[in-house]
Amino acid sequence: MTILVCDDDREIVEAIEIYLAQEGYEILKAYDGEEALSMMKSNKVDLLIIDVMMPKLDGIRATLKIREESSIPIIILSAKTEDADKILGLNVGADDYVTKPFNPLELVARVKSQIRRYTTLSSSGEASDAVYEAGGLVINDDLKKVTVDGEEVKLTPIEYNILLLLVKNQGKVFSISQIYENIWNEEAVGVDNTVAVHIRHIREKIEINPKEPRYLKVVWGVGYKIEKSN
Amino acid sequence: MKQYTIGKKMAVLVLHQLFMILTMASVYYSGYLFQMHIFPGSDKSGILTVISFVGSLVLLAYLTSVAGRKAEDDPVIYYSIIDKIDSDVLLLLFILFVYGIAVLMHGIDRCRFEISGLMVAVGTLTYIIDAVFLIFYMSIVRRIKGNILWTQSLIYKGYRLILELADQRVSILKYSSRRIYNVLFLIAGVILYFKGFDKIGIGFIVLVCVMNVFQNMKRTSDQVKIHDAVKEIAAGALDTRLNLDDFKGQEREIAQSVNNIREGLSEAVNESIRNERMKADLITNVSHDIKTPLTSIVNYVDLLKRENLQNDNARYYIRVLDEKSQRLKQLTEDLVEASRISSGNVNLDMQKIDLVELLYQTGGEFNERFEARNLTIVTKIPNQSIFIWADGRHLYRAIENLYTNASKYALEKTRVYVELYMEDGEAVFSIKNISKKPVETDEGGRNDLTERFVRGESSRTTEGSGLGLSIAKNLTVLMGGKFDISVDGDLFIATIRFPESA
Repeated sequence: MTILVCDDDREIVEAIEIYLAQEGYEILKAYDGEEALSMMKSNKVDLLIIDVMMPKLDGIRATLKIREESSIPIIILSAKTEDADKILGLNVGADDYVTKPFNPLELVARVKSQIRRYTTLSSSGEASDAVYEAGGLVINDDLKKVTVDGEEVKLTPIEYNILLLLVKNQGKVFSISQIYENIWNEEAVGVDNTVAVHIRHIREKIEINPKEPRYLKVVWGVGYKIEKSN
Repeated sequence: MKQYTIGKKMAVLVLHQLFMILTMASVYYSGYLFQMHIFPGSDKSGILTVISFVGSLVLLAYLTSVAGRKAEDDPVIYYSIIDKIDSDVLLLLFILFVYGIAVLMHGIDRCRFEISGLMVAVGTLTYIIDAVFLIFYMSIVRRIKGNILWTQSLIYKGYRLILELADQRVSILKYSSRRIYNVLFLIAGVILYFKGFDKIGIGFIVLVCVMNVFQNMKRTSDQVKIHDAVKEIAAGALDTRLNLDDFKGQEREIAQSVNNIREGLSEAVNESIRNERMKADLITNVSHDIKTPLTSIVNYVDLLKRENLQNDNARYYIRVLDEKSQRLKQLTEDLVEASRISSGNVNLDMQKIDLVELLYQTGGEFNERFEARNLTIVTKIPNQSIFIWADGRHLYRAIENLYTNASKYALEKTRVYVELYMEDGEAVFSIKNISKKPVETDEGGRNDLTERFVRGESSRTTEGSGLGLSIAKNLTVLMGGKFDISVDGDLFIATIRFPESA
C-alpha cells in the first residue's frame, strides 16, 4: 500500500510518515499540489493525504484534477475548520476531511478505514436479506455481526438492537421515546438518559471520532439517525 | 438686611400723595387768590408749595429706589401684573390718560368754583392723576431695572417676527403657496357673491372648503407615513425607504431627511458589522497560521511520548508539553468560534426543537464525565415535550458549554441541579452547581463571566479557555433566547430562556 502525503510543511509530512510507516505503509512525499499531481502520474498511489493551503496548486484544485482520472481515497488535511470549508472539500471529491491540529491516532484510523473501504467494498458482493449497509457500516443480522469498514465491532445486545433499528430505517430520525418503545417494547413513561447513554457507547465503538460521527448522527432536540448512504 | 415690606412702601406712597395733593392745592389756592385780585402780603402758600413739592420728590426718589425690590440685598426684580403689558402700549395708555385729564383740567379752569369746591376737585384729581402716574412710573422703573423695557414692547416683538420671517422667507412662501391659492379663491368667491354672481361665489367658497379638507387629509396621511418610518428606524429597521414621489412640499423635505437619517444610520451599522467581520477574519487567519506549527508540536510531542524515555524528568516535561499543547489547540479552536459567533457570522438552521429530548441527549453525553468527578446530576424535567424554535446544533453547543462548565468547576461530591420548566410562556432551562473555588464578582455582586476570557478565578492555571460562557451567551442571543448568569455565594446559576413555540 502506498500513501502520498502532500503538505508544504515538511515537519508535518515527516511526522505523518513516521506514524504511517509504523503501520507498514509505503510513503511518498510531496510539498505542493503540482508535485503531488506529477507523483500521482509516475507512481501507483493507493491513498492521498493532502493539505489545502499550499503554494503553486492548492489542495482543493489538486483534488479536482485528480478526480478527473482517479477514484482513489483522498483525505484532506487542513487548518480550515469552518463547516463551509469541510463541505467544499467533500464536494470537490475528497472522501474525508481532517482538521489540524489532528490526533495522529485518529488520522491513522481514518487512513485504515478509507483503504479498507476502497479495497473490500469494491469487491463485496455478499447480498442477503439479512445484511444492512450504511456506507462502511455493515450489519449482518443472521450472524449478529457489525463491521465498520470491514473491521468487526463488539456491541451489547441492546446497543445492537438500537443500531439495527436505525440502520434499517436509514435517514429517519428516532426520538428517545421511540427508540425506547421499539427496543424495550413498553411505553416510555418518564424517560431518562438510558437511551442517550447507549447511543454514546455505540458511537464510541463505531466512530473514529465520536464527537464528529460519520454514521450515527445526533439531531439535537429531535432524536438520532443513521445518515442515509448514497 | 433691610426689608421693603408692602406696608412700608404703602406708607411712603400715601405720604407722597398727600404732599402732591398739598402742592397742587396750594398752587391752585394762590391762583384762586390771584384771580380774585386778592394779594394779601401775608400769603404763605408759596412756601408751603415748595416744601410739600420737595417732600413729595424725596419720597418719590425713595419709591424709585425700592421699586421691584423686596429687600436691600435681594438682586431679584419682582414684577407686578401691570409689567406684563407691553411698554409701548402702557406709554400709549398713559398718554391717552394725560390727554383726558388735560381736557378735564381745562374745563375746571373755566368754571367758577367756590374756594372749598375747587379745593375738593383739585385734591381728588391730583390724587387720581398721581396714582395713575405712580402706577406707570413705577412699572417703567421696574422695567428699566430688570432690563426689559425694550424687549417687553410691541415694537420689539414685531421687529423680531419680521426678522424671523425674513430668515425663512423662501420656505414660507414656498409652503404657503397652497394656502395663498385658497385665500385668493376665497376672496374671489366673496367678491363674486357680493357682485351678484351669488351661486358662482358660493361655489367658489365650497370649493375652497373641500380643497382644504382634502389637503389636510393628505397632509395627515403623509405625516402618519413619516411618523411610522421614524418609529421603524427607532426600532432598528434600516432597510425600507420612504418613496419621495408620494410626498409634496414640506412633507417631501421631511421625508427626504428621514431617508437621509436612515441611510446614515445603516451606513454606520454596516460599518460596525464590517469591522466585527474583519476582526473575526483576522482571528481566523491568525489561528490558521498558529495551527500549522501547533500541528507539528502536537505530533512530535506524541512521538516523543512513544520513545519510552526512562528519565523521569524527561517524562514529566513531556507530560507538561502534551497538556499545554492540547490546551493551546482547544484555545485556538474556541477563539475562532467565539469571534465568529460574536460577529454574528453563523448560519442558523432554525427548527422546532424539543428541549426535553435535547436535555436527555445532553445528559447521556455527560453522565460519565460527572460520575468521574463524583458529581450527581439532579434533573427536574417535565414528562411532556417542550418545543422551542432554535438551531439544535448551536443550542446543544450552548448547553454543552454549561454542562462542561459544571463538570469542570463544580465542587466534587456535590449535586448539580438541572431544571426545565415553563414560566410566562417561556421555556426556562437552568443549571446550578456549587463552585469549587469562590467565584470572584465585582462590588455589586455582578459579574462579567460571559465576557470573553473571564473565568471565575483570576489565576489561569486550570483547563478551559474562558470562552465557553461567552460562546453560550452569544449563541443563545443569536437564536432569540435570553442568557443569564447569577452567582450567590458559591452557588453558580446559569439560565437560558426561549419563548415557547406553539
